[in-house]
Amino acid sequence: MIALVDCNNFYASCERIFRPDLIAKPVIVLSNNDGCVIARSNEVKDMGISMGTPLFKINDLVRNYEINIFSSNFALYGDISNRIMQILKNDIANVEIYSIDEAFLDFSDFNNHETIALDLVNKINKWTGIPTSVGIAETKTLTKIANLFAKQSKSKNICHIDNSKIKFFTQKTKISDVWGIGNKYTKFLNKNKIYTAYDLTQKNDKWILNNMSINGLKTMYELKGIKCFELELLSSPKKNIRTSRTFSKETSDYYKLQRIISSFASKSSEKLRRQNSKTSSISVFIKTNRFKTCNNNFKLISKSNFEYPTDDNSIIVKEALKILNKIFIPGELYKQAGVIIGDFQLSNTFQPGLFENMCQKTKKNKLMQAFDNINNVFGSESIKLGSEEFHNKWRTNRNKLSPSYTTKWNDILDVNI
Amino acid sequence: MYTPIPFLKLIASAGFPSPAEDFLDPNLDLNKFLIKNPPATFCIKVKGDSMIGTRIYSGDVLIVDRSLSPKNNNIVLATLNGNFIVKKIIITHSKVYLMSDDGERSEKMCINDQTEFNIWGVVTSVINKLIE
Repeated sequence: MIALVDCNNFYASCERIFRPDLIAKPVIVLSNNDGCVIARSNEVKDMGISMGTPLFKINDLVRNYEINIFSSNFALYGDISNRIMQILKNDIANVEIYSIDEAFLDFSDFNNHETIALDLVNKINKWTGIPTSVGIAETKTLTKIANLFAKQSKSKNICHIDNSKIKFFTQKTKISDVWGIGNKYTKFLNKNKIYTAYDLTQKNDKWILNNMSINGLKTMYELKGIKCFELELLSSPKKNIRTSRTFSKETSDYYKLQRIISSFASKSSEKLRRQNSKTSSISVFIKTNRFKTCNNNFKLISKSNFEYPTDDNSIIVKEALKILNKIFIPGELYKQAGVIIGDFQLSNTFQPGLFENMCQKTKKNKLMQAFDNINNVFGSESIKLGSEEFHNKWRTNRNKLSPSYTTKWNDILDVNI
Repeated sequence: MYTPIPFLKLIASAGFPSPAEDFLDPNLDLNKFLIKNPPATFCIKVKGDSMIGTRIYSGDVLIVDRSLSPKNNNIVLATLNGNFIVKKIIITHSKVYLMSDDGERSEKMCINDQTEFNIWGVVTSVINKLIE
C-alpha cells in the first residue's frame, strides 16, 4: 500500500503561516518575474482564476476582490517543505520526496492506513500550519487519483481507493487527470474514444504497446491496481541543470547578455559541483518576448559538447559565451535567457582524457574548491568571475516578496506586544 | 552550512599524539540546547513592554514550538482577530485567560466563544542579548 501526501495550495498556504489576517482571504502567488499565477488559495480557485493566468489579465479581479498577491518566495517554501518532509520521515521509514510539496510513503507495513494518514495530516497542520491531503492506494498512479478526490471532498482530506473501489474511482477520473498522461496522449486517446481512466484499462496490452510507450502500458496496469512503479528511495542526481530567467526589462544589448549568460553558466557549474558531477554538454538559449510577439515568437538555442567532462567555472562560462556569440541576432529584443548543462558523469568515477593536463587540472580543482568554500562561508556571490554581472539589475521583478521568515534573522516575524 | 571543525583535531602530531584525542566531544550546539523539535520550531522577535513582568523585553528573540500544547502559565504566541499576540496563558478548569504584565500592573483577559482566537505555538525560550 502506498500513500501520497500532497500539500494543499502549497505556496499560498506558506504565505498564510505568518499572516493570520489572510486566513479565508484570497491569496495568489506569482511566477518568477511576477508574470503568471502559479498558486491559488481555494477562494481564488472559486473565482475561476486558472493556473498560469498572466497577472495583467486579472488586474480588475485583483482590485475588486482585494486578492492578496505575492511574488514567489522560494526561501520560505523550501524551508517549510523541508520541515514537512522531516515530519514524514520521522514517522514513516520509507519516504520518496516527489516534489517540493508531494511525497510518496510506503504504507505496506500498516493495517490502519486511514488512521495513520489522518495522524500525519493533523501533525503537519499543527507543526507547520500547512493543510495536506492524502491519497491511499495499491499503486502510485492510483494514489494520484485518490489525492484528487481527497482534495475535492470538503470534509475529509483523505481518500482510500481499495481494490474493490478501483472501478468506481477510475470511471470518475478524466484521462487527462491520470499521472503521466500529457496533452499529446490525451488528444490521441480521446480520438480513440478513451475519456476516463477506466476506459484505458479496457484496452488490451498490444494496442497500448503499439500506440503508447512501455510507460503507457505500466500506467494502464497501475490503474488496475497492479504495481509497476516502485518508490524511488535513493535520490538520484539531477539529469540536467537549467538556470534561466525572464528579465524585468527586455534588452538587445549583447554585452549585457554576455554578463547574464556568464552568471547563469557560473551558477550552473556551482550546482554541478554541489552534486559531485561533471558535465559533457552545454546549451544556451535566448528568447524574444512571448506575449508581445505572439506570431513571431522565437527561441534561439544551440548546444555544444566539451572535450572532457568538466565542472570548472571558467571552461563552462567560456563555452557558454561562444554559443551566445553564435546564436545572437543583433537588433532583436530579448526577454529571456538560459543555460542548460547535461550528460553528467559522477566526479569520483569519471574517466580522465588521455591527453588532459592532469597537473593543471588538480590545481584548477583546488581553485574551484576554494571558490565554493568562500561562497559557502561568506554568502553566495561573494566571489565571482570577471565576466559575470556585478550588480543584479537583470534580476527579476519581485515587488510583492514576503519576508524570509524562517531563513534570515533580519526577516523573522516581528510581534508588537 | 558552515560547520566548525573541533579545535583539537587540528593539532599536528609532530610530537606526542594528544591524550585528549580519544575523548573528543562535539562542540556545544545551541540549536540542540534550545530546540527540541526542529521541524516545528520558529523564531520571532518582540517589540514592546507588556511582558516585562515575565522577563520578556523589547527586542528579544523568542523560540516558539508549534508542536506543544499550552499548559497553565506557559507563554504563548497566539492570533487574536487576525493579529499576533504574546501572552501568558492561564488555564483553569472552566476558563482560559490571557495575561500580560508590564512589571507594574497586569492585565487579564478572558477567552470566550466569540473571540477569534488560536494558539500559534508555545514559547520555549527567550534570547536576550546583553551586548550586540
